[in-house]
Amino acid sequence: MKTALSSQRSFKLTLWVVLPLCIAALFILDLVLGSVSIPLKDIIHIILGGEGSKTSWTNIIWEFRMPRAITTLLVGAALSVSGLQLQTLFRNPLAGPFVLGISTGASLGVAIIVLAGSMIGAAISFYMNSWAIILASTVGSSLVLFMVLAASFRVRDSMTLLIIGLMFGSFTGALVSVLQFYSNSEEIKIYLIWTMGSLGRLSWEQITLLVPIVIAGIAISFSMIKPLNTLLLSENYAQSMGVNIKKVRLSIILSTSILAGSVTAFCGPIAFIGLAVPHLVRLLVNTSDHKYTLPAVAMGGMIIMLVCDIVSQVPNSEFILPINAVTSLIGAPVVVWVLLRKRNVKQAFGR
Amino acid sequence: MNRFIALFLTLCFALVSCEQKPQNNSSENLEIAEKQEILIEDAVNFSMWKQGNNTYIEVPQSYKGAPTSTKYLLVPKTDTVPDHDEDIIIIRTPVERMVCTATVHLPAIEMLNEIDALVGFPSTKFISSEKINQRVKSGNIQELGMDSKLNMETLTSLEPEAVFGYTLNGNSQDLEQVNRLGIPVILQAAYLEKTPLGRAEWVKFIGAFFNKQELAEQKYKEIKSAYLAVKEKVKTTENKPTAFTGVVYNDVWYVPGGESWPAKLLDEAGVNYLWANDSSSGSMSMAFEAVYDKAAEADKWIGAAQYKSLQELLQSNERYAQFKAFKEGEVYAYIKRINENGGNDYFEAGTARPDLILSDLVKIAHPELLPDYEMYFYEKLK
Repeated sequence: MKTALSSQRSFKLTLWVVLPLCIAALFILDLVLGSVSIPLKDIIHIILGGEGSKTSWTNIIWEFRMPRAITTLLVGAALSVSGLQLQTLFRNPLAGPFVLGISTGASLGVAIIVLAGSMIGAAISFYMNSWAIILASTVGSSLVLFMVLAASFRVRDSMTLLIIGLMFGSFTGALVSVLQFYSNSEEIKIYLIWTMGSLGRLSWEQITLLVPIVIAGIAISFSMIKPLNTLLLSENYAQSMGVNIKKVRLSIILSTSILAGSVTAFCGPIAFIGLAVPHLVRLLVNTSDHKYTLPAVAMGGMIIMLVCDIVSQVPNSEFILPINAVTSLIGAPVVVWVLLRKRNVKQAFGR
Repeated sequence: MNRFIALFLTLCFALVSCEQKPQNNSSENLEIAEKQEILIEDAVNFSMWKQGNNTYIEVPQSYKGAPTSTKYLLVPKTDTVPDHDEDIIIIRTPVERMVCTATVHLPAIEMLNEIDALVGFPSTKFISSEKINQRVKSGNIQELGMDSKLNMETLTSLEPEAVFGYTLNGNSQDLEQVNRLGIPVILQAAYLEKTPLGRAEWVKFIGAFFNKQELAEQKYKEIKSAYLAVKEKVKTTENKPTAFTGVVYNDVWYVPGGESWPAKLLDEAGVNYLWANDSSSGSMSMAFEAVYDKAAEADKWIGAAQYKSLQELLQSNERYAQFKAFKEGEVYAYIKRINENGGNDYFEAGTARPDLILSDLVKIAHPELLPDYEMYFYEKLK
């Protein structure tokens, strides 16, 4: 009993002290490390509102690295929180923010304006407009989600919903292949690069739009800590506890689509984070109580995303790696390692 | 009886030797026919020589990393095919029915007045050449689907004598299938040439298949002298504006290496290309901030992909506004010759006409040297 109490205390310490400190440290590191090496002294001076020794450095910090680092935080938190909610809803460790077809719906939207641009005779320049891509991605993912949502009112259990989501994903994926098949190589390249994700493209204007959206999505998920906890036991049990399953399901889907949908619209489909971070955090904190896992997952997502971003910049080289390659390259082995150590992921879902 | 056998054997012998004799003669003739090298001035990825009426072509690398060279033996349709190695590809010339799979082949074919020989092409909507488009419209050139997935049935029904294709890695199921159908595949590997003139010289390679060696040589001569004339003009100026090229896709800015084709052209045009000292010949994936750090104060931004205006550039990424070249409106893109389907003549005619690209670049970097010249592929963005 005593050990349980002390472990809970150390866990709280981790949650409210260690994780935020890690985030702060990595955030600063993300600003310091980049393709162009800028002396720390200059960086501090620039952040405090001064001018760097070179004017281009001031621009690099304020126009390139700062928006990028903030985007990284938003993406990490949003995708991880939506992943956790869906894993709980479907009681399936393989669920992630993209199982409902958010990613493929967004891909379809982007594919239509990027790949079918020449087919429908639209001006080729249209697809290069970042707002156009954001709009297309949002419309695409909303359409798919709308269909999944409509289905969610008809089906009884979440597993069926999961399968329906996967089927929508396959269907839209097939449409994207058809579009790809009939496109020229430059269009395919632009589309493919979009699918590799991007953290560094957002302008300040876009970030100020993304911040409230992500906060709203996370707020909805925090308001559902109790029903999420009851869902861990089983849908039937939750129902017997007086939880309105349909309403909860709707809120979870809404929160997920706001979080994952907006991030995908602005940054492209960022792989792996939503699926992996909840596992890592759950195994780290030894509890499946959402009161703890939700904030821990949000912060864990930020940390891992920051690490991935730093790696993708290949510090001190002019070269760069696509963010999606890094998230999976680093993420997958880490998850395997953690799972091998803990050996059991089922208990996290109360089974 | 013995006599009979002796007589029979003698007759047999006589017959055999009679039959063998002409063959011996022909191969002797072949050895006697003098081997005439055909002068290739700038291209390094193919060599040609004539022997009698036949033309031999050897391409060391039909694609990057090809394990062996590709050899062609071009024999006039009226002649018999001589003895040859097994791995040589026999083409009967002139080729009268051909299929091409990439727009880069087309300018040479047009220059040689051979577009009537073209009977099939994939993705015809991306073709820029007006003459060829007319033949597509009139139904003389069949659409073959995608260049990565040719419509084999249509292709076969066209009965081409050769398919002019290209492969980046030697791995093309389509072209292998064409080969299995008994249709020879001619791989164009001009893109592996290191110099702009080297690429253009491939018109001689194409010309050989139509027996139009002389015309090809003349066309090449014209291009080369135009190219050298512009290059000569650049020597008169000391001023070398600094420049960068490309755009960012998502987070990655693809920068041509110092040994690449675009870098070479910029250098010839008297431009101080910021990555000229780099030793790679392909393109490099760079971070936006790395490009910005180096190019923030550059004079010109040459080759901003296919953006049509400064406003459009800004909409795709507002960080472009930080570049001096952007602020001063010194941004140029190859957008002058894009057809309604998005096909860009820069990628089609550009490789065959380095003289035009060079003139455009000189006009951008040193407008005073070519006061009356109007740019062919490039446009200044407004």
